[in-house]
Amino acid sequence: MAENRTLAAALLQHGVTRRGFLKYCAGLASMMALPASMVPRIAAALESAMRPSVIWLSFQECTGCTESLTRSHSPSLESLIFDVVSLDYHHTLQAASGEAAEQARTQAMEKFDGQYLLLVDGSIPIKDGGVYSTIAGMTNLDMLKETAKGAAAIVSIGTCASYGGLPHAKPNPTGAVAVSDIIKDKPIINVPGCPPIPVVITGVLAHFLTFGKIPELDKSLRPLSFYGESIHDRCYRRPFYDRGQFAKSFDDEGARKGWCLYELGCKGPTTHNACATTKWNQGTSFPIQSGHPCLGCSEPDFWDAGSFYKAFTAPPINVSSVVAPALAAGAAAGVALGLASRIKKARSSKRREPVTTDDLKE
Amino acid sequence: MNSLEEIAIQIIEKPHSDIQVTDNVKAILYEINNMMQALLETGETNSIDLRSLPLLPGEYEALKEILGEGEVFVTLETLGSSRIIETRLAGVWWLFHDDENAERLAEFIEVTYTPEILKSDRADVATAQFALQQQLDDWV
Repeated sequence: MAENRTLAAALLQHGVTRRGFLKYCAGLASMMALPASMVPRIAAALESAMRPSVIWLSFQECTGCTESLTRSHSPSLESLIFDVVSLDYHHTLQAASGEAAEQARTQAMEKFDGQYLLLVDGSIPIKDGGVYSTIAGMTNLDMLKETAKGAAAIVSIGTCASYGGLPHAKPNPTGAVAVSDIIKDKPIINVPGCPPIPVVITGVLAHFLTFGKIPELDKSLRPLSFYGESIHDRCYRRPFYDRGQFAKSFDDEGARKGWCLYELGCKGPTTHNACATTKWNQGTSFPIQSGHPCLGCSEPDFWDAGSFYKAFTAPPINVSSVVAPALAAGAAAGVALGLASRIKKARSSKRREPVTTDDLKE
Repeated sequence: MNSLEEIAIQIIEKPHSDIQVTDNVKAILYEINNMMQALLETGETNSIDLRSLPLLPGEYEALKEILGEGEVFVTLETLGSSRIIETRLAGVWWLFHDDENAERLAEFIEVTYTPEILKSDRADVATAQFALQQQLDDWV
């Protein structure tokens, strides 16, 4: 359980030297998408930051979010962050089980009342009194309400906790909802993704540890530093979009040449996440780089937004003919297509077209 | 005389003439140029986080080729290896930070006279001096 000592002291105890500490801070700055010029400020803040208590609740979920974090590609940095926080409750990772595990949660809640960070993955079923998911005889709904009371802030990890995710998809048999649908009086940070990028999870934690407050958020409560731009805006295939060069199928010439995947259903233009820059698997690649369209997994209701493999709209015009004369015209075309996409997505969302196996055959 | 040869740093390898200098690469070089001007005029240091840039395939390699390697190579062994290299441009450093599993934690181009991470900390110097003094006292 967390003791009254600073993060710097905890790192020193792990044999981290001053240069190691600066390197750690440089890694954090990069992870948090902060300018490298912030490194000295991060170092100064961490010198005096207290080691926080963290309670992690897992509800209607597949454990993919925890897997994402524990299999993350910079284990040293991630493990250091988890070494300097006190993870007082996580029923998948903790050694204790049964009553002892639940006792760890209630003890942390009492000892660090008003100070602990609450992390939640999974949606919360509220239909029929929340009977569809319980832990130690307590419904997820009751456990969330009880644990949220004394939390300094709540981080919703993954699309399920952020927006309801897969359990919330039509026909939503358990009445699954997001954390923010239930808790209204606490600061909430959504870290959506199915799963979220591990460095985004720890980046959000690191931001809270470093600055003692939640990062700047967008209207969907996502940290702007990671979700401020669309996949499309940061995609290395964007120049092909601007030139109107699209792959029409997964094995045509365009696909082989690495052209834009918009017409194959890429949701990059309406999806906000850091995949295009942070990437996955040791920073090796991300879906688009591997030749697959973005599914839009960090956006609300992405499961019900129509086929993964149908474009929101086919480009209504030859983009290149508009773009060629001037970049400004290209930007306008992009905005127009993006707007059309959003309208189509909203319509699709209303129609709630579930993805079928037929879509996968297309 | 080749303009690069006028820089007072021994160039280990000249850039190949067939490098594709794309707009992204040019933009970074302009940024580095501005940072060098700021360093000279006001002493302001700056850096670029290379992992935050959406580079097209080949652009990273082109940038590395153009900046090249100068005469300073430092290896730092803490939390895994870090390599700190002064490029062929004096004051422009390329920092690679790897973790214990040799996976990249961060990568920066820093424009500074000496990267902060190389400097000795005053408290560390004081601790070391105290230890040396004690050793000398024991030997007396």
